[in-house]
Amino acid sequence: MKPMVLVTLATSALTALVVGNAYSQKRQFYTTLVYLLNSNRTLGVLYVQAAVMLWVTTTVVKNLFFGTLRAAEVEHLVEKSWYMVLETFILLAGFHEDMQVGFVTTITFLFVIKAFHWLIEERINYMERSPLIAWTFHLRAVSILFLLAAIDLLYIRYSWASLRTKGASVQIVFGLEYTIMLLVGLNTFLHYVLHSIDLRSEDPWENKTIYMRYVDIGVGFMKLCLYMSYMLFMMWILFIPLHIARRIFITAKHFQKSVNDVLSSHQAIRNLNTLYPDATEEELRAANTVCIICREDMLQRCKRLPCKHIFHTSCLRSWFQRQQNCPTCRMDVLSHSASLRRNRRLQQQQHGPPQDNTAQGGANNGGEGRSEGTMSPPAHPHTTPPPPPFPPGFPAFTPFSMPPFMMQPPFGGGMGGGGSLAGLTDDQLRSLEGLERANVEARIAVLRNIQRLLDSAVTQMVQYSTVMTNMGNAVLVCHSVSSELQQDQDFLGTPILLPLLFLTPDLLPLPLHSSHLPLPLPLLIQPLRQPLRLLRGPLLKGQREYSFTAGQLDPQKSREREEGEEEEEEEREEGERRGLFTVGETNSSSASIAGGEGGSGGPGEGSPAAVDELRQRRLQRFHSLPAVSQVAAATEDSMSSASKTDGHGGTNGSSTQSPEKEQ
Amino acid sequence: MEPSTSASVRRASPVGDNLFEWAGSIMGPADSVYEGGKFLLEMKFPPDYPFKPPQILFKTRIYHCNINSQGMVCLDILQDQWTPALNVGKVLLSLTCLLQSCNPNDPLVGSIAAQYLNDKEKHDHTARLWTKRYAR
Repeated sequence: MKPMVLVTLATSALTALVVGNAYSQKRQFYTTLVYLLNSNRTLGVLYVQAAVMLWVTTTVVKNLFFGTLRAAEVEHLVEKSWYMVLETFILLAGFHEDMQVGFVTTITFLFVIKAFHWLIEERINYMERSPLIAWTFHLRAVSILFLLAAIDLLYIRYSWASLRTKGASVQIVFGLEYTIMLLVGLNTFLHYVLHSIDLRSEDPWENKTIYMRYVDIGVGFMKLCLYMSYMLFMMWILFIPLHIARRIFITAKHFQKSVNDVLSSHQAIRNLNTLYPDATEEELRAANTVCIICREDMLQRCKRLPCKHIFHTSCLRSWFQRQQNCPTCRMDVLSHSASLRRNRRLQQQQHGPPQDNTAQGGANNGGEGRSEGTMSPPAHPHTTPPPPPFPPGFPAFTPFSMPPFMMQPPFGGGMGGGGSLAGLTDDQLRSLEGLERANVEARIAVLRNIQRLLDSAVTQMVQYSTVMTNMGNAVLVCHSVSSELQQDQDFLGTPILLPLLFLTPDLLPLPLHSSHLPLPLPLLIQPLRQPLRLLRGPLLKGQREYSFTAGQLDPQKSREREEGEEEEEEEREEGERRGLFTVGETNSSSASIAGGEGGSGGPGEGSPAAVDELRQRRLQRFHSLPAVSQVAAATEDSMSSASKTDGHGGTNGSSTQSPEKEQ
Repeated sequence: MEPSTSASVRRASPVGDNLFEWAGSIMGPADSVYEGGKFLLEMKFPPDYPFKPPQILFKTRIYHCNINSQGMVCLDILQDQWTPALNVGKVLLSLTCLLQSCNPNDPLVGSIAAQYLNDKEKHDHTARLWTKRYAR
């Protein structure tokens, strides 16, 4: 405190000196003011003075409304301040043009107001834990809350007016901040009201936790909506407001947690009322008769959890409002009761209602059987003792080996026909009926799904076989070509090279090997072939001249070549040089698939043995490729049909060979 | 409220008339670096005890990675793992266990935990020194 006073006195003296000096020089109010505001040195002194004044005011307000801060409060304040500083810097990145004295002042003021909001929130939370609340506490809390709310409202009004008159500016940001603070203040005030109500009554207020959660959810939702709409608005007009990203995340997380808490505590309390049995006299006598929560005797109104621990119903309810586990053994009540329900349903499905009956009966008679059943995981729903008698017609049915929907029909019929339903109340019967109906519907749905799967499988098979047929042809072409490629390197492959020619006509002939060709290439080329054929004429002109270097072809041949497969020329020339084929043999009529075959078939006409050998080699290579070998069997037929087409085109060699192949 | 634990190594009783504020003490467990020390505790019970855990502060300084210089204790059963089945005796027993074996993987004072993991000898030395200096 001492240095604080000293600093205040020093700055006040300094300010007085500066102002006095200026006034003594100018002797007039306005000129003094102008002098003070125009000199950097005097301005600096005035800023320091303002900062000290703010600090002094803050300290006074703090002492007035909060007294001495606790260590935890200071710690939280410092922690939150760092976040605030960080977010302010991020904010400045967006509004640097607004960076003026007024802006700094506004931010500082915002920071102070925010710090007070944090402090009062801490205080009110602490109120729950501090047992002695003096009347001054109430006075201070209420007055500071109203003061802060008034400041918030005033600023919100100001920034709203600014938004309407001057348009979007940094005032939006401040408006949001103060609105959020107003909501925080509202939350704090509601907490305060709840705590005060709790304090006024002698007994602890059981439902306070629930109401607090509702308040948290309501305010959290409003905050989240506000943040979201602000973010959208900012993204629309200016930029992405990164400075609130952290807070949006935290608010969303907190909101989600509050909702989850409320839901799970509701669920647990509902379970408590419906699912768990009242403890019987024997159990109360057998157990330690003191409720471990309140340390009072348990004489009546006690509940037994599935883990066999017994507590007062009211004590359990209060505990379940906060956490949903067994106070003694921490067993998770929610997940357990979910599995319990599932077990019951399974039992009803598989064994019919009597099983449920025995379970309930067991629970009422001291509960050995039932707690065993409930403690078991859902995967073994059959630990409850008496299995229903199996109908003599079903010797091989064991419940463990079959999925439930498979064995449902015989059991449902068997048990439903018996007189075992007599022991059930109307409600149970109705619920059972509902279950049965649901089961039947589920079974029908499963069967429909299976049918759909089968249909789609058939369609897929048809498509697959079609593709295989086409691919078989294409693969064959590919390999015939690649084997030719190995034979003479300057051969221009028929369909495979088309895209290459199309792309790089000046790079050909390429030293291609079959290993260079990616396997699916033929498949890709297949649909391209037709349009490419139309393009080939003009595109391949230069290429053709290159390959015509031998210049021994007659005009008719070249015409045919224009119509047919130009890429075979080199080989054909070779064949011609060897005198192995004539003009008539040139394959121009068959489909493009047969093009490669035609080329390979050429030399085969003169020497069938050579053709055989070539084909054998081709087939070997074909089978040696891993992916192709898998489909080799499937494509055997299509290969032979391809060679047939080839033979039909002109060469005798292939046509004589294809029947052999087919055999 | 349950009566104070009468074990000689762990004591706790209300301060004055206020049943919500207790003072207690635990002795440093034998074979630990806190052996021979007596650590005073301040326990504050919330109004909805036993549904909320008591707040426990070490009033004696202690060199421990889960207890900071303010005396705040980082122990799960005093936070989210609290159950109404715990009482003062069990809490004090848990605190003794915490002194016996600290949890450097979830520290409140990071530097002490790092020292415990990297240079246990020095850590033990300092802890013994502090016990001698402050807890006797």
